[in-house]
Amino acid sequence: MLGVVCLSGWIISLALGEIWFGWFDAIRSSLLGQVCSVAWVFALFYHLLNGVRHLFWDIGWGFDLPQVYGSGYAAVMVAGVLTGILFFFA
Amino acid sequence: MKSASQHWWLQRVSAVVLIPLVGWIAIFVLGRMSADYEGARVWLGQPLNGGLMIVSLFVLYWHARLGLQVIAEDYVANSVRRRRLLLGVNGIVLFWIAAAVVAVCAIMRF
Repeated sequence: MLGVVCLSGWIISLALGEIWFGWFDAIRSSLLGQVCSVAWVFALFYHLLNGVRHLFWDIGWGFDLPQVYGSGYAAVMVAGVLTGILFFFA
Repeated sequence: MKSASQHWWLQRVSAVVLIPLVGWIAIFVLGRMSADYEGARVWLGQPLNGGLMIVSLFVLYWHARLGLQVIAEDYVANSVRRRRLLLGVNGIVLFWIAAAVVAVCAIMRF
């Protein structure tokens, strides 16, 4: 949710002009901004993967306890890997 | 349809729609948020990119609103406080979605 607000902030600063974009970029590239960026991207991927788990459960797939645990740990790890890949290329 | 089952369906539909949209944001949008003001404006000004961004914003905020509503309904027992909280959530979501969509339109126009 906060990440989407930040995405909106980026778009709005793009529309308002270069001075506003400079402010956005200063906050984003600060240490706190970078830490928050990584945390938000990880949370986004983790939420996405868990959402897919829930959608599969809704259609009755993977709802046995070992599978639930397995996909849960997999979601954490895949989210970590995807976050690493994204910041490697960004 | 009853509002609870409608909420359930809208939540699932928005979740399924967001799978490809979040993929698009992760691959094409997040990397563009670092520097290059002009490049980002030109990119977002393309009809396909701007259009996908407007759709993404609507579905993202809609999905977020549905989720925050569930949190309020599950954890705020007092019905007056719950209603005020949900009104506040609706107001904040409406403000950000309007501002962001107007901004995309402005970038696409100029």
